[in-house]
Amino acid sequence: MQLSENKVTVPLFSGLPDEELMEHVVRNSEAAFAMLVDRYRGRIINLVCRFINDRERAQEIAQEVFLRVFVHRERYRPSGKFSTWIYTIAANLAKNEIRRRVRARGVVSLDGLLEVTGDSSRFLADPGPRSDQRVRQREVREWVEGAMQAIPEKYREVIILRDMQQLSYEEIEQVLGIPGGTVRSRINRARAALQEKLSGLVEGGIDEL
Amino acid sequence: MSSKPMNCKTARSLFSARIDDDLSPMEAGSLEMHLRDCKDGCRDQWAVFESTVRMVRALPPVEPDPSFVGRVLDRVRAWEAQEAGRPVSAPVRVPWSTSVPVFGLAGRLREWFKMGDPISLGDLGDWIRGFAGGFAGGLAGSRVLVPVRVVAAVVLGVVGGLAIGQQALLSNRAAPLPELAGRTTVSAATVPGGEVDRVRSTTDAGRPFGDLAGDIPPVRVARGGADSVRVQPDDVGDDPATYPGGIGSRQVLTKPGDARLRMTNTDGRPQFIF
Repeated sequence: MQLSENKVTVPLFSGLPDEELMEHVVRNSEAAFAMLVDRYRGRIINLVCRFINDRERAQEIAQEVFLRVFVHRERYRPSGKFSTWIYTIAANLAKNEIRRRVRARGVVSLDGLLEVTGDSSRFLADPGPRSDQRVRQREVREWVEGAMQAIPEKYREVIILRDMQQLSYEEIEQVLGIPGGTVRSRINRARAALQEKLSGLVEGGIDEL
Repeated sequence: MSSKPMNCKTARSLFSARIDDDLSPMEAGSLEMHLRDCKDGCRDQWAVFESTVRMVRALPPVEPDPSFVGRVLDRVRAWEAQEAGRPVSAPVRVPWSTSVPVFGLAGRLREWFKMGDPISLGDLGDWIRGFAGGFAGGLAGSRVLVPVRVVAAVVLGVVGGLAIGQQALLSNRAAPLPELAGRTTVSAATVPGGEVDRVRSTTDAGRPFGDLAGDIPPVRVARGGADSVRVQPDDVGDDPATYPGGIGSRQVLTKPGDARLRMTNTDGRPQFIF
């Protein structure tokens, strides 16, 4: 029987923490797995999308993330947080996608990287005066997204995990496998790099989205 | 106790930690004091920094496709169906018909090693042909990925061959080696009516088989020559003489004109027959 979208939420599992849901997934509970997918789909899609700046492809990669969670469910160790485990899988797949795109296009320059990860022209162009508030908000959003793609990958990933996914420093340590001191200094440098990219917007008073 | 005033560089390096509320109380206090008193623009820099982070955090989320969960479950079911149709382990079926040459020749190879005789190119060719047969059988008889098949075919061919060789060796304790018995002509450098001082044997195919010299027990011969000898019937029987290299006894199982010399180790295991 194929589960439909509105049958996914099973009351039996709705109150369980992720780690206990995974115990049921290991025992081949499809309902528990569907609950986890429902719980994390937004976060994983957004994480991947911010990495690759491609909404359609992000949906596909997010599906792959959950498929891998299921396929490798027995490798999950209940002593660790499920969230850091799935974030690690998602971050790795997203970074693989960026590298695949770079290889496919033979891109080595920063401009080329921007081209495969986002629309650099929007970031580099002057937004210009716009009277319409919604248009301006969209423009600012595109600038921020362009700036995200313009900073190095190692900076982008910590910004995504910290400022977009609200992971703690300790969780970022586990997801990226780097020491806590490195996490802090990298976040510091990443924010400084973003500040530099967005200085024109912020200092011009356009800081609303 | 008075602390040293914070400079601008240090203050700006703490912006990131401040926005994450990751400063110690002392650091937080010093930074607050610096931002309040700084005349070099740190307050403005903080405002820009804070706005930058706020803009990033305010990026609108991407909405998942409404059918996302269903699609994931479909992919999981497809994967499960695929796995159900695939063998759990990777069986490698090596047909006996093609593997027997491998096993048999490996067993003979073991025999040769045991006797310390040189291996001719012909022997090596037989073994390689047999191995190739088993190897091809291993490939054809399995349904796993090619690299796994190759490794499995090689391992099974060699290990299985040695195992069968061991089995053949054990079975030879009870039975002579048919492929070697009665098919060998003894040739020796001897003199008519004298004693054998060297026994050099070859099989019918011309393969070197044995070469004994030195302390060979007396074997009377009817006639001698450069290329052949014939052992007399009265040599039939056990001879307790000790041979170099661990050969314990010899038994001549011959009749006039047909040389068949069987030698055994001290434990009774056939060493070779010629």
